Parts: sequence; C-alpha cells; structure tokens
Amino acid sequence: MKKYVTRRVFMGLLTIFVVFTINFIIIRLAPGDPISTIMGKDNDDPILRTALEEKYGFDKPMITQYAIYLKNALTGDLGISIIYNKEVMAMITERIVPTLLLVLTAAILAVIIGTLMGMYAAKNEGSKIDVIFSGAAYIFNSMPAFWLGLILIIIFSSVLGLLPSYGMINTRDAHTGFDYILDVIVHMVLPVCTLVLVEIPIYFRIAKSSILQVTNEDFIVTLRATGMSERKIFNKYILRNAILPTITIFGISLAYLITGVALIETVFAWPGTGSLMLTAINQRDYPTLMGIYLIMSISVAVVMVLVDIVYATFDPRIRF
Amino acid sequence: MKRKIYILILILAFFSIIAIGCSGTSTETGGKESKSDKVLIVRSGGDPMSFNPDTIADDNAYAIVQNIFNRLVKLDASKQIIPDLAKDWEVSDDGLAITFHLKDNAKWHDGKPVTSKDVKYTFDTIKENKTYYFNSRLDIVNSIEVPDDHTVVFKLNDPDVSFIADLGWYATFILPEHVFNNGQSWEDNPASKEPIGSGPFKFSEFKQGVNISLIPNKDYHDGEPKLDKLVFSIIPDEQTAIQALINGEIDVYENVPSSSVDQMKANGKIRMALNEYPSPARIIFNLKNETLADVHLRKAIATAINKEEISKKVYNGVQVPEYSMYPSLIDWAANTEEVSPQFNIVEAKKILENAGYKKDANGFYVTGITLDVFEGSGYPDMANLMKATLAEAGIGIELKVSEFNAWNQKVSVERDFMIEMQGGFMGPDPAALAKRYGTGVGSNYGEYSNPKFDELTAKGAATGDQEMRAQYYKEAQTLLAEDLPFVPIVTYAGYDANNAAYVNLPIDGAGKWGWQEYTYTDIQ
Repeated sequence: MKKYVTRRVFMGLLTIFVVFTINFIIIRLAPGDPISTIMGKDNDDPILRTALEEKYGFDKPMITQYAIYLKNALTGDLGISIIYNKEVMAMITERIVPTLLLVLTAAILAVIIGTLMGMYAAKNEGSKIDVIFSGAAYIFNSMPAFWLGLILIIIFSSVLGLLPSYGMINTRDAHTGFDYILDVIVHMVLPVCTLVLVEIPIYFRIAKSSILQVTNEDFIVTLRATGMSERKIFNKYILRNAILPTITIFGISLAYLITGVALIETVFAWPGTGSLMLTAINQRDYPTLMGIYLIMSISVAVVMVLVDIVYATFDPRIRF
Repeated sequence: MKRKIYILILILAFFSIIAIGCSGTSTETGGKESKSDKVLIVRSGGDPMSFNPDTIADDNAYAIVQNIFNRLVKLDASKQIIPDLAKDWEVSDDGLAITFHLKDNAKWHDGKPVTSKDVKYTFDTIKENKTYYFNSRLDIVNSIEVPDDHTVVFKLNDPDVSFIADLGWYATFILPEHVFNNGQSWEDNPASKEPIGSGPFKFSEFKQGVNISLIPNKDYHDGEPKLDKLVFSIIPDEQTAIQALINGEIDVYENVPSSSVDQMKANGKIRMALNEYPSPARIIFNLKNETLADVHLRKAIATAINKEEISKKVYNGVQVPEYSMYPSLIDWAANTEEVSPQFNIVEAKKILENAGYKKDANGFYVTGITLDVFEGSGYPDMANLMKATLAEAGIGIELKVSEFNAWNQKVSVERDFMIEMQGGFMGPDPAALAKRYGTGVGSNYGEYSNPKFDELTAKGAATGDQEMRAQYYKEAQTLLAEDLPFVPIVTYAGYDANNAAYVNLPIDGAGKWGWQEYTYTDIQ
C-alpha cells in the first residue's frame, strides 16, 4: 500500500509540473496580451505599449520569463495580477470560498439524489418510474447549464418573484449574523438547483447501470441460491460493489467543478473562482490565469490521488 | 459502516465550509440598514482594475471614479464639455496658454481644500510616468504654472484647444497631493486602493467580484448628494442584469442590448432613455494593401453597403445609419453635405466598370478581400449583411471573425488586415479626427496619410473660435469623403434602462452634470 501511494503521489506531482509548463506556453501563444487590456480599448500608443512591456518584463525572452515564474511559484509566490495589481493568491483565496460552497453543496446533493434514483430505477427496472427517471436524465443531461440557469431565473425570480436573481448577498439591505447566513442560502438556491439538475443524470446513470451489472454477476446468483434475503444481498453485496464507479465520478467531477462552474457563476453573478478565470482569460491576465490553472491542476491531482487511495481501500485488487 | 463514516465526513466538511464562508464576511458588513434608505444600485459589467483613476483607462472603473473624483472639466450625457472643478477657463490669443479658474469651495474627503497645487502635482506626475494613460497627450504641455491657489495655467508648446476637451475624458482626475506625494508610485500607493477624492461620494467598500459601495460626501462643493448609498453591483451576464432590473434588484443599467429594448419599454416600472455616443461603427481600409489602395474600389465598396438594412436587422433601428465622416451627433462639427455614398448596387458596379475592373467567370470584379471582425456588439451580423450586398455588386469578401483580443493583436498591433471593422469614441472634440486618421498616429490602423488633411486638422486645433474650427474640420471631412480611408456604417447608441422611481439620473443631466454622475439623483 505504501509503495502504491508513493507512486501515485509522484505521478500527481509530475502531472502538475507538466500541466504548469504547458499552461505557461499556451497562455502566451494565445493572441493578445494584458498590455492591450491595460491600455484600454480605444487606444494604441506605441510609446505607452513599450513602456508597459518593459514594466511587466514582457520584453525579456520567454524562457527567462518562465524561469522567473517557476522559481517564484515554487516558493509559493504566484505573483501579482497585472490587471488588478493585487496578489494572485489573495484574489484566489477570496474567491474560492463561494465556489466551494456552491460546488460542494451541489455535488453532495447531486450524488445523493442521483444515486438514490439510480438504485430505485435499477431495482424496478422497466417500471414507469424508471422510464420517467431515465427520460428526465437524458433531457437534463443534454441541457446547457447556463441556459437552464437563466430559465430558472426567469421562472423563479421574474415571474414568481420568490428568489433573488443574482449575487450571494442582498445588495439593498446588508444583513448580519444569522440573517446573513439565511440570505446566502436564499441566494444559493437557484445556482445550486441548476448544478444539481445538470449533475444528477450522471450519477443516476452510473448507479443504475453498475447496479444492474453487478446484479447479473454469478456470485449474486449463488447468494440468491443460498436463500439469503434480497435486502441483505442488495445492501451488503450489490451496493458495495456497484458504488465504486460513483466514487470515481464524484472525485473527478469535484475537481473539475472548481472552475467548471464558470458559466453558472457568470449567469448568477456568483463571486467565485470560475468567473474570476473567465475574466482573466478575456483580459489575458497571465499571472491570475497561471495561478488559477495551477490551483486547478493541484486540486485535480490531489483528488485523483485520493480517489485512487479510496478505491484501493474499497477494492484491494487495485493495489497490486 | 465505512461508507457511513465517509458520508458523515463529507457532510461535516460541507457544514464547516458554510461556517467559514459566513463567518469570514459577516463581521465586515456592519449595521443593518433600514429599508427606507435611498440605495441606488447600478449594474457594472466587471471589477474595476484600480481606484486610481489616472494610471490606466478602465471602463469598469470609469463610472465609479467619476463619483469619487473631479476633473477640471467633464463630459455630460450629450458628450459635451461642462465645468467640473474649474468654474471657467480662457485661452490666450496665441493659443499657447490655457488658464483654468478653480471653484474655491472644493474640499478633499479628508477636509483639506483642493488647490491648484493638486492640479499641478497630478499632471506633473502623469508627465513623469510613461506608463500612465494621459502621458503622451501631455507632450504638448511645456509647463504648468500656479499663480495662486485657485488658478492653473497650462503653457503649451503648440496651440491646441482640443486639449481642454481631452481633460474631460479618461485618466485626468485631480488627485490629492498631500495623500499621494509620499515617495510611492501611484500603482503601489495604498491610497489607490482606498481612494480619497473631492467628488460627491466617498469610497466605502469594495468586495471583489461582488460590489463597490459609495456613501455621500456631505460637504460636496456642489451640494450634498440626495442618495444614502450608491452601489455598483457586478453582474457580468447581460440577460441576468435585465432580469435583475425587472425584479427591482438593480436600478440602473446603462446600454441594454437592442434585442431587449421592446420588452423593457413595455414595462411600466422601467424608464428607457436613448443614450447616443459619437462612436460610429465603421470599416477601415488598410491603405498599405495594393488592392485597397485604389480609391475606386473603396468607393464601390462604400456604395454597396446597405446601412439601412443593417440598422434595422442588426440593431432594431436603435443604431441608425451614419453617412457623415465625423459623428453627426456632434452637430456643430459634422459635415452633413460631403458624406459617404448612398447604397446603390448599380452605381457600385458602374464605378468598378469605369475604373477598368473586369468580371470573372463567377461575376466577380474583385475577390479575396478579407474583413476582420471581432465577436460581439452585433459586428459579425453586420459583416455578414455587408458581405451579401457586396457580393451582389461583384465584390468578394471573406469574413474573419475572432475574439476581441485576437482581433486587437492582429489589427492594432500587427496591422495585418485588409479591411477591419471597429467602433471607438470620436469625441469629445473633432480633434479626434487627427488622432484617428492623422499621418503616422498610433490609432490610424489603415495608415491613411493626406498632408492637406493634416494641415486642416492642425488649423482646427490651433484656434479657439468654434465657427472657424467647424469650417476647418468640415473641410477635412470633405477630404475624407473623397478619399474614403474608412466608411461609417451605423451610429452607436443604446438605451439606458432606469428604475422609473428615480429622477435626475446621469442621462437627464445634459449641460448640468456628468455623464455617469449621481450627485442629484433622487427618488421622485
């Protein structure tokens, strides 16, 4: 087990380094640069451009820029945002809490609801409810999340007037204490619902198909032959085996969700890392982008290692 | 069993994150406000880059800093120059000295008086720093003199009255010397994060990605603002912002997409007001390109563009066709007689035939011309309609649509294009003509060069007499209409959607208050 974990961790570190390097190159290959953003849309003054390029070190060769950036990143210094003149690390920490709040709530709700639905549908395969669940899963799975979000805003905010349409807190009346928490929860309802609706189908289908698959295995037939109760067979033997893919999917989607909800965050004006990333892309804010990508690749790598380890605990065959 | 433990851990982690998320910010928000407070919420598209209004030109900060700081002069909703800190000004007879007389009751937010020394400090600092936006414009300034506390004299190297109008545009806000002059650069100065200005509102709080709150400056020299709080709420998505306005969650949304105009006009709680800008959409020819160097071809292209159709189909008629070579909105300077050609396919073909162009097998006189367009603002749609009518006239155009940054790199930095489409401010003064089409200037992407045009625009800048200036600039536009280095397509205009309960919003203040200023805004 120890060797297995070491190998996984090493692979994770290597992945992060490779991704870091590729990101550095790709970001700079994209046409446009942060200088144009700083200079403003209506301006092209060559003297100003040269002065700014010198100031931010873009006149140095790319390899030197890379060496400087790598050295700083290794010491935990992600640099200063060119656009906002603020430490990248501080900007990301400020924005990551709202994102985690949104993403974790949605992911946990989706995995629970989706898996339960999948279990029910697998147990009653071919029933009316199974048909409805499966049909709904297809519809929501193929729906663009940002569009669904906007439709929910129109229905629940504009037409019914029940929920706020944007942001994390009420701008007109600032709340404190318990009211503040309540305010955040009210603002979370629509974005979380959007994410949950889009995520449920994934867990639903995984749970349903893997339960069905395990149910048809020989050892289940044997267990049935021993006369063991169906309930015990399902809870103890089928579910334990069938839940493995769900864990993998949960881990992977959790890692991607940190930036994958960028469009949802933009639609709901949610102040998270996803919308920060989109803005940074549009403004070509290299340090901020690199910082976000680094955090993202670290979180993907960490979650992957964790998933592997959890998997290995559940299923000892994997270690060997 | 193990599974239950995992679920338990996950649930605990979830609640601890909620707790962290809430405890982190709840302490900052201070006392609860009562609902009767007049809080005006303005939609903002993104985070401001800095609260120092003079280091960079930033559209997201522009609306905010106009309420915290003052300039010498400012633009009103009709994009004309009106007094700000300067109550009046005069130009010397030789045009080499511009004297501003400052209001004597202006104070900084910390109570110190605003003096001419602050003005001198601000512009001297900009002049020393090449990376600041207004730096190169100050090349024309020889020295700034302060004969007394409320008089500033700009001594110029060459006469240029358009300098006054530029002082009312980006990055010319007067900063307090006693706060900033501490040896740190403006970018790194803590005062750039918690600004102290002289404007109608004081900075209160900035939450990255959420909002910017301002509170009224009770001692404002032009009277205490009527609002209790002014909030700029960051909503990146246009459709969400529209819904938020309909729900009453925000009060002001400048420039709503033209596709939503009819729906919002029908809503009784929303007041729609047309806001026009001297920033026409136009196509610019690269005159370094051999094919396009031929004025006949340019004329044929200009004649084969159906501006009426574009205005109706793409902009719902909100942005109207523009024929004048200088925005017709600035009516004293626009030449409405010598203009770009009217749409006429037969005429376009005739121009080409007369110039000796021959039809190929497919009926095209010219092919392989590219048009670079960036995404958004309806530009790709506009380009597609143009492509269709140009094809009818036998001119083959190929569209190249890219994201704005990529377009900017290609067109403005590398100058690698044949025809490009762009917008951009042509005010506040017709001197902008020289900045866009003068020989060798930075924003002259098509590299147009006509010594006669340069001479006329130079004359126009050198005199303070508006009638004379109009005459010079109208003559310059006659040259542009002949040479057609660019073709104006449609004007730039958009509806400001405001909560109907409020009066004296920025759009109502032509001649009275600034374009994005909320000093007099009040509930009806």
